Amino acid sequence: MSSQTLRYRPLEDLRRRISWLILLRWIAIVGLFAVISISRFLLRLDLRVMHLYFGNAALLASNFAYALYYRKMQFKRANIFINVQISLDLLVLTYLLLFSGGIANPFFLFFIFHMVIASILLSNRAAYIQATLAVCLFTLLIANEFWTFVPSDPLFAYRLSQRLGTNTIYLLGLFAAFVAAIYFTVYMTTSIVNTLRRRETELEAAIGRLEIANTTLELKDREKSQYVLTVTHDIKGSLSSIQSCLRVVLDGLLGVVVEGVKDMVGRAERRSLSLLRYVNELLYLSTLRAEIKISHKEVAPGEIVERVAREFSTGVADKSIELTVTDGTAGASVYVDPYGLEELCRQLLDNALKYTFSGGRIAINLSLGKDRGLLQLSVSDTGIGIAGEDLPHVYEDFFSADIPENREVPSTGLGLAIAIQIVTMHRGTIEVESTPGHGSTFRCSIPVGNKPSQGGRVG
Amino acid sequence: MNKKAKIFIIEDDPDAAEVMKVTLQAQDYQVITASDPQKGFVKAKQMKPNLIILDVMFGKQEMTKGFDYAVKMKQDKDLASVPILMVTAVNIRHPGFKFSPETDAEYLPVDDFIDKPAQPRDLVEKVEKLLEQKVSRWRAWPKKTD
Repeated sequence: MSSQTLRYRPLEDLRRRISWLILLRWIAIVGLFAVISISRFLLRLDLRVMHLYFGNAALLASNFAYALYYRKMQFKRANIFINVQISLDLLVLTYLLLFSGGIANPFFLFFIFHMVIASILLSNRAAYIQATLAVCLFTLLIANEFWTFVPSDPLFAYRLSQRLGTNTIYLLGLFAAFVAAIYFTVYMTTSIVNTLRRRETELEAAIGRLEIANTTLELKDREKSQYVLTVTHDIKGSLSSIQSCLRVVLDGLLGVVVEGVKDMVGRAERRSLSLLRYVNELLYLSTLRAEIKISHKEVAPGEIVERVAREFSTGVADKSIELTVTDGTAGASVYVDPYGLEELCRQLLDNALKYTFSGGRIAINLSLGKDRGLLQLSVSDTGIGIAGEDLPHVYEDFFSADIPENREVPSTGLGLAIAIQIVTMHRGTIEVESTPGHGSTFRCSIPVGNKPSQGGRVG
Repeated sequence: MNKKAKIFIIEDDPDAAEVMKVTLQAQDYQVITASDPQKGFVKAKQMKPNLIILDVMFGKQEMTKGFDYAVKMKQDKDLASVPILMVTAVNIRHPGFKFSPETDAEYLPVDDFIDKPAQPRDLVEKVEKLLEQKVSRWRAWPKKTD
């Protein structure tokens, strides 16, 4: 996953919250309009319907204004913007209650969820200030019961408020309960929100640390690659020059070579060649292990296997071995690491060829699993096989079974270690089955996508 | 077959260069060598060789300098039509740089590749093939021309 998708963006977050608030208000406006209309025309309550519709219209107009301003809002103004919205909402709520029975109207409970919204969207301090504003406005509603700035006629609550207005104990109790409810709501909500915000900050810090770690890792990886390249250039360059120089002598390009000289130079040339191969495999294995990602590309596995099989045609012919390739993929394309697949195939085939007697058989089988999600590659031979107690160790670096036959076979002991590394990097499996004296079969299953994977990570 | 063909080798490893030189001289080719790609480029323009053998890696830090010079030669009117045989130490079996002649050749204006260490038989075979071909497939780089 790229760091871009992980990065926490406070501006985006704030924008989302504001648009949520505006959406909630659209719902409230429709709801309010429905409640007023139903109360007046269906329930035939004697409401001051024009005042209430005016309040509804004010809410509608303000929300339009908010929605317009939201588009070009600057980040630093966002908090003020939310504060203004919530304060104005509280004022509209108070206005609507004032003309619909005041504290006798059970809708005064709506103050509570305004507090929840304030606690979620605002800083703790701002939320408590909004709570205090709500308490002040509620006090105004209670005061209206005594002094009646707005006559609460002729509402359904008229009779109620007549009685309430004189019941001081009840009003005090209502006030106390309201204040407690408001502040408790803000307290509890802000507590939860604080925890969440702290987690968010921690997460953000963790993401930051991860990014640093990732960069360090990439740097280390590059350093390692540079190291490997240096070794490649120095050791391999020298080795290949030694080998070429000896080859030129052996080929008689500089004149006839006496038999004894030819034999000695030949030994040196063969050793330099096998050392070259050893260095190559060692470097390849360490690069594979240093790799974090493998790059999937679209390839036709059948072609790769055919190509590798062709590479071995001389070796196969020298030992009169019958090599068969059965390609059951019908030319299908899959997404794998092409270099990896090629090398895997090369190592398994090389291994089979090394341990198969002259006149033996090697069979390569390639197929796609039933759901085409698994590429299956198997290499069977009729070679010396592997003893049961050696089976668990065949993939270890430098492993070579301690049997007389092996001393004749030049081997780096890295081939199968490379094979299992490639399979593991593809999150695949490899298994081996063997009967000593009769042969071995290596089976690999490699998950393949139909789309390029975004750089499968290897843990 | 043109046995008097002029072959220009640009290779910074003197031993590798000598081996190729001896191998090709044994086939009666006329061989000139250069160890520095810039000097080699200038010299090649004067010599007008029939074939250029170009190494990829020049020093540890310049692992793909040969690529740059291959492109540079194709953009030069004197050298554009000369086939290039590239000596690679960088393919799948040479870790650290994932270039493979099999898949990436179309981005590189060279006519053939030979792996290091270049085996005499292989080298002579490829040289003969390119000399028969005479003109580089990439003389109108970046367009392939055959």
